[in-house]
Amino acid sequence: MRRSGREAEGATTGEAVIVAATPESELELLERAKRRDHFAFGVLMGRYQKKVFAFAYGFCQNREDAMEIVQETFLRMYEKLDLYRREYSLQSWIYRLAHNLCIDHYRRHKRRLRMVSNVDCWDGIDASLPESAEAEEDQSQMQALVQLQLGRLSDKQKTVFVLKHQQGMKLEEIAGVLGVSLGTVKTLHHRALQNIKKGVRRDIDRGG
Amino acid sequence: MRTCKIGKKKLALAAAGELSLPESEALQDHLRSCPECRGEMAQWQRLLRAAARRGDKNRQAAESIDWDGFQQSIIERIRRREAAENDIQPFRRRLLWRPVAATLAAAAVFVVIFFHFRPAPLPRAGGSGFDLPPGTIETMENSMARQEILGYLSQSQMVLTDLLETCDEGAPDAGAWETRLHARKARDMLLKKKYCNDYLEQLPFSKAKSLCDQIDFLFSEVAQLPPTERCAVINHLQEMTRRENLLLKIRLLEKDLSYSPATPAMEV
Repeated sequence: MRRSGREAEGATTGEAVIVAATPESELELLERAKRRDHFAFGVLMGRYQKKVFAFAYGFCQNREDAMEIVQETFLRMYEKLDLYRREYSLQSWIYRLAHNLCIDHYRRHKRRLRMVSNVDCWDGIDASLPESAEAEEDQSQMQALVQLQLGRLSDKQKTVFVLKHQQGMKLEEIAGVLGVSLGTVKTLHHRALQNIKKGVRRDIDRGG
Repeated sequence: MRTCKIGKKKLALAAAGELSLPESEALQDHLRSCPECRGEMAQWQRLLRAAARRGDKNRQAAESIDWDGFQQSIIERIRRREAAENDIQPFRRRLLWRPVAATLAAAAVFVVIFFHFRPAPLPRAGGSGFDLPPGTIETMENSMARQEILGYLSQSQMVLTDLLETCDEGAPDAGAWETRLHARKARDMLLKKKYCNDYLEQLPFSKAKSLCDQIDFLFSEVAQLPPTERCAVINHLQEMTRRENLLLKIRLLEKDLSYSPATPAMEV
């Protein structure tokens, strides 16, 4: 049943919060959203929008780009609701949509993103980085170094790292997002860690 | 250069929280006694802590966004899309029918053009599929009959001429081989006459038929020559030929058939 426009608008207010607080109603919301119920879809959006933003922001390191990806993720989700199958987690499905859009976005704006990433990450890092980093454990500088190396990882390694260490997901869940086996995700995770560590060490050595 | 045998992988996984409980406890025991691995572990923890804090910052950035406005804008975009699709759907149906209608129209035009400009079929005559001008069939049949009769007359003339030169008064009696040759030729002529009979039965050739019958009688006699006194019989036939002026009649008839193809044979 299609709700009125006023009800659909209610999805953005307190009503959405009440419905969202009922976890078992997710499938029901999904079914209603499939029947083009804007209110139900708004409630679902409210549950995942911040997570998707954090993931996209971690991936592309640009607030506007991240917002664009979140928008496209939910628009695509609404278009493809009929394709969603219950045997998969809804969260994994949404993250997969976002992941694909991040990759598309990254490939479209590869050069620009790389330049922005480099500029953003090196801001505030002075020439005495090694001593400063080791002596004071300047987390902000370390964060910048990690982000810099994150931008140099492959798409899948980056996704695994962001979902694991910034979104707090388990490797099994990440396997569901990427549609690969757990062993593959473990390998990607290990390589991502090693590459970031190696890159950070190299950058620190170069700075010294 | 690391000297401890504990692998980097285990330290990284421990920092990432991916070791099992027994493995984690064993590693903690080792770290208490190994400053090298402790230092390495500290580096991993610092690195992953920095990554986690970056994640926290990303989430904090999410808190500063007007998500109500964001949802409204998304719902509004969805509404506009659906409205546009609803508007477009009838147009799409028209678009779907357009190629079908165009194909049907093109087929109709093609059919009209084909039937309008195709060569006019030949009118049928008597169900044979062809319509010839009146009298064509008869003319053709007459021509064929005339040719057949002319051929028969021409050969008859040669056979009769040979026959007239046989058993001359000064010559001895014809040999058996010569009479057999005449008999064979006569039989051939009898067969040919049978073939021509169909034509000779036609009204235009009724007068040629009487001459051909006379010739046919002569050939039937030659074909049945007795073993003895052959020259006597042949002389009798020669006499008859001369008396009836058969060779002259044949030539006249040939001339008549040759020079008046459109007209029936005249009475000889």
